[in-house]
Amino acid sequence: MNRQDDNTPEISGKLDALLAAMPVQARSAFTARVLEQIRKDAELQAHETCLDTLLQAQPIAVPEDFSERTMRCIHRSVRRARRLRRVGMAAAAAAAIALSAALALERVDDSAPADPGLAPVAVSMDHAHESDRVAGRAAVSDEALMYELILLSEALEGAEPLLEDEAFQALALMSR
Amino acid sequence: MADSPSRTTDREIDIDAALMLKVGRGDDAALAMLIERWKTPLINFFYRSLGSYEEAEELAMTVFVRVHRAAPRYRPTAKFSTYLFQIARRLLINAYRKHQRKPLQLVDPAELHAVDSDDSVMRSMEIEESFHHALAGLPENQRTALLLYKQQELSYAEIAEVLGSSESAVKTWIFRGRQTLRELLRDLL
Repeated sequence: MNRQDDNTPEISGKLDALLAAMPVQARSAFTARVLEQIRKDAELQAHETCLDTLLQAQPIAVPEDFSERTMRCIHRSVRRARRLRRVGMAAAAAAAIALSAALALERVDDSAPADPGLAPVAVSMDHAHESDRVAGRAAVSDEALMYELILLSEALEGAEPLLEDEAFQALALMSR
Repeated sequence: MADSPSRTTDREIDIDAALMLKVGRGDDAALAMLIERWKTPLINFFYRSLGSYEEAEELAMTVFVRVHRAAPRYRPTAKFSTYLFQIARRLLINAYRKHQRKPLQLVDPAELHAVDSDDSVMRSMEIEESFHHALAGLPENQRTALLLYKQQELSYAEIAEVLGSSESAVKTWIFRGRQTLRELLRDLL
C-alpha cells in the first residue's frame, strides 16, 4: 500500500470513525459516586473556610501578644490539623485548629516546658467554652483537652461533632 | 446515550449553561443532570488519552468535583464544553506527568464487556489496541486536538481556546496527528 492509498476516503473514514468512537460507558453507579464525592468535597471546603477564617483572624486580633513560641504553637497545630485532614478527620482537624487558636490567644503559660505538645501547655478554657472541667489557668489534662475538642467541634458550624474515640484519636495525632 | 451532547448546538449550550447556573445556586438535580449529560464524553476523552478505564473514571469524577466547586463563580462567557475540557485537559496533563514515572497500561475496552471471541471480534480488538498505541504515541497537543475535534466535535476555535493556542496551530496539529495515525495504522485499516 502506498501513500496515495493511505489517503483514500475509505481509510480516512475508518480513522475518523475510530477517533470519534466512544468505546466505553460509565458504570451505572458513576453518577451516584460523583455526587457522593462532591458532597464530601463540599463538606471539606466548608471546614477549610472555617479553618482559614480562624487562622486568619488570630494574628489580627492580638498581633503584639503573639510570642515566637505562640506562633510556633500555631504552626505546629496547623501541621497537625493538616495531618488530621489527610487521614480523613475533617471535623477533628477543625477542632484542632480552633483549640490551637484558643491556646494561642491568651493561654500559653510561659512556665510550661519549652517544647510542649498540647497536653503540657497550661491553658484557660473559659474563653472558648463554658466548660466546668477546666477553669482559669489550670494545667490541662488529656481528658480535658478531649472534651474541649468535642465541645469545639460541636460549636463549629458545618462540622460533625466528634465522638470520644475520635477526639482521643485526634489528640494522639496532635501530640505526635 | 440519548442525553449526551454528541453535537453541541446553540440550544444545548443554553441547556448546559442554564444547568451550570442552577448548580451554582445549589440545585442538586441540575448537577446530576449535568453529570449524566457529560459523563460519557468525558470518560471516553480520558480513556482514549490514557488507555485506562479506571483512571478515566477517576479523572472524570475529579472534573465534576472541580466544576461543582467553580459553579458559584461560573459565567457563561464561552461554550460549556470549552470550559469543561479546559478543566479536563489540565487534569490530563497532571496525569501525564504521573505517567512519566509510571508507564501506561493499556486496557482493551473489550475487557469491560462480555464478547464472543470470533474472528471479527478479534480483528476489531486488534484494531482497537493498535489504535490505542498509535494514539498514545502522538504528542499531547496533537492527540488532544484530534480527540476534541473528532470525538467531542469541538470547533477549531473552541479547541484553540481549550489548548491556549491559535486556530492555525490547532489545524496543523490535527493534520499532523491524522497523518501519523494513517501511517501507523495503514496495514490495519
